[in-house]
Amino acid sequence: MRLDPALDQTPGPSPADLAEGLSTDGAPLVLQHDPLLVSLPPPPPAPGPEFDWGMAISSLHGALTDSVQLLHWFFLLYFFALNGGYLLLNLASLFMHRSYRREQDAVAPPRNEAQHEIPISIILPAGDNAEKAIASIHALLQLDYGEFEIILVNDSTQDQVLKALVQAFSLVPFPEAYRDRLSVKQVKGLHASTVYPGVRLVDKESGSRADALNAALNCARYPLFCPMDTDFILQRDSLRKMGRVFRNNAAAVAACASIGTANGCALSGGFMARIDPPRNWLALFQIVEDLRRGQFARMFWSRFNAMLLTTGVFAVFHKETVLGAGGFRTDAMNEDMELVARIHRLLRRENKRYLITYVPDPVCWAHAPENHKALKIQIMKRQSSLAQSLEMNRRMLFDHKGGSVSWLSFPFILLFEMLGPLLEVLGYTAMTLLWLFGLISFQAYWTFLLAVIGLGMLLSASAVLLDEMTLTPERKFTHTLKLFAAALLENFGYRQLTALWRVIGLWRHGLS
Amino acid sequence: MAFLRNTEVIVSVAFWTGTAALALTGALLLWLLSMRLWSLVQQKLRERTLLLWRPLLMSSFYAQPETLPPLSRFDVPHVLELWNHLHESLNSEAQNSLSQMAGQARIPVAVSLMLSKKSFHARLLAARTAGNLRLVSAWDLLREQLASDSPALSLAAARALTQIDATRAVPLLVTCLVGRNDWHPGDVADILHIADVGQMAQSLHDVISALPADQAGRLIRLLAKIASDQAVLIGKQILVGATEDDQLLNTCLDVLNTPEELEAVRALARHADWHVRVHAAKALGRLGAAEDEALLEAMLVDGQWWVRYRAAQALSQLPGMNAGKLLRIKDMQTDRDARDMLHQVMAELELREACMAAQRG
Repeated sequence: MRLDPALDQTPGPSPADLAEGLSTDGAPLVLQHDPLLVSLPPPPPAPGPEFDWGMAISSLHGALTDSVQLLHWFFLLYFFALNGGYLLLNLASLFMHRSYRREQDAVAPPRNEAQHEIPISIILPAGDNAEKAIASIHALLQLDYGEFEIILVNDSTQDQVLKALVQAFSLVPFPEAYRDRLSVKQVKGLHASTVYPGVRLVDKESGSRADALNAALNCARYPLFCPMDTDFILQRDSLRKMGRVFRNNAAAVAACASIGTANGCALSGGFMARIDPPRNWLALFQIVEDLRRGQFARMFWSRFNAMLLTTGVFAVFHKETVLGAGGFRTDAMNEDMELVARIHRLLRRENKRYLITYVPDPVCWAHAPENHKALKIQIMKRQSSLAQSLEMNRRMLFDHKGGSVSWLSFPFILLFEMLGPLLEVLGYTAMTLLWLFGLISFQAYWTFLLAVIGLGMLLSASAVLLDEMTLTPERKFTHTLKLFAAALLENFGYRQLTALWRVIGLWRHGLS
Repeated sequence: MAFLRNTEVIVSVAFWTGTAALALTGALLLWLLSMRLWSLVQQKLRERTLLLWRPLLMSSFYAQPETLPPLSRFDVPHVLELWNHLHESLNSEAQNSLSQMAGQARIPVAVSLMLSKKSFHARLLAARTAGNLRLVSAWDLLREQLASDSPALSLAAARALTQIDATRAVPLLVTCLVGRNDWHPGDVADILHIADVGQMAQSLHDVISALPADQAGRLIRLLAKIASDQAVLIGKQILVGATEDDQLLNTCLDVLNTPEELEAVRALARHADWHVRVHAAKALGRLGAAEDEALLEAMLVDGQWWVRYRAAQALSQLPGMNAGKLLRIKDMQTDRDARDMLHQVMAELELREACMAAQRG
């Protein structure tokens, strides 16, 4: 009820109150039974207040402007958090990296190091290219390591692959008391070399890489194993550097190292002889990308025993731990990464003391794609496999027993690695559309781009600098400058394009 | 929160973020260039120092130079690197000449100063030099460095202390060996070779019995490398004792090298833990007698693959065992797993011979 002092002088309800059907004290008015009033036709309804289109448009515009502003802030802050997060991660890992390098370089390896090395089973699925597999094994046989065996797995449908391998290594059928600790597709037989002690071949029905690795794991003799690929290029002491992790820490169950880009490098006898920069810019961009969000981040997470993202790594595992976890999953797109995530989940659930660590030494190289098509396929596959791996181990997220994995690295990877490209692409698209539709000014648009690209350049350049600070031996100055240039240039197209491909990879995973 | 709705605020935040990021990127480039420049300067300085000092150090083998150029703060690390390199690769006579020359160049004073520095590399180099110089005055500083968190620094200090006075160093080393898991066994073995092996073995022997199982196992393996007799002695005591620790039992089984404790090994061949059975089978293969055949045959039907495998290998290593006898044992087996395992081990023996023949050929 309105209290209008001017109307207080006249007793009775005010016209406004009457219109609302209220008396002066606020009680509903009761109409007297008046026959005359009853006989009259009902009065026409009072005209409602007129709809104010101008005001409505103005409110809508206000709300829209507010939303646009909030969207603008959201994307700006997201890009700030994304690049800033990685920048902090990289900076923090610099100290860890330098401390590692300092210890490694401080003392010469002991003279009898080989005597103390834990034996390793190297597992190599041969694939369909026998020639490549043969060259790989010849290189592996020259590795500097105390004791190791090589288990080749042939699951090719082409008969000539087996024939070529048998001939190259003088393999003969071997009556192995084969154990089915992991269930795999039918194993047709085992062969052993009469020339190279420690070289065996598992001949099995065609299946996935994970199935081949599991089949070899069933007959691996040594406590550690290393899943290899015919594309990998090692150095003679690669296995030694990986093996040190297990020797120095009894709780170690896995050691991972980044796979360097072999494009442009010189090989000798199947080993890396000289590291040179690739001539192809796509390959250079991939090196910068790995530095920016791979190498240093892995070092950081490994300090907290929370390394989850292991796409594109060379790894050595503790065999019994892997067997206890059920071996490699045949339905996983990236079986190594899924395995690492699963080991974290299972061992943390059981409250076991364990260590999954990162070896920052350059130990393994592979050729990176040099054309858009191959790169697109690789990036999409990696993103799908990341999403799949996280999904398969989603119970780890915010699990009370999961510690740093559940509360730090899993959410970080989920937000910045898995969903990151989606938000990046949305950010670029939304801001462009807003500008095109005139909802933000050109000034707002270009300053947004300046911030996003500037932050991206800072992150990439800092990663190259950190690499320079931790790298031994020093690389050629022209190589470093080329990498620095790539760190700046990748922000103009490459980064946006790869984000888009990663979104497609994510989309395809969602569809499957 | 009104400022959030202000377009100017967001634009200026974006602008200054981008500008600052670009400026920092430029600064990083400058940093990179200066790092390279500094590295180049360092390299030139090193070359200049070595050009001056290498002939002087080399000539000291024949006659001590009468005067030496002053050793500047920047020269010290390069000269010490070279001095240590020469010292560690020469005979004792040349080493004495080098030590004499180091005294003349006031290197011991520089080393003492470096040992008190915070720099990792300075302390590491100083410890190495102090050890090679047998610098008694550095004892206390090295003792402090022995407790460093860094395995490299503590190992360098341990080595230097042992070089300076092996007898005094032994109790310190034993304390470290018990407490530190981060020392590489190979490095430790290298240091122990400088130490008084008898005293070291006795000291380790004295402490092992009082240690928890995991530490005792590590030290027994270490002891086996420098004085296997002492390790075997401890191993025997543990085996006949009542230890329940599987890891320790495994270690003791591995270090045994005489058949005196065969009865204890035979008993462990029926241990509840399959890892212990595996190690017992291996020990039986190494030390066992012909009468262990039945025991090993029984192990061929063990539920664990590794026990069967090691038992089959041990059978093939028993005294008087040959291919024909092994084949007869295999044919007598009613259990398929046992037969398969013997078949595999026999094939392995044949393969080994074939490989050796191929390598000889």
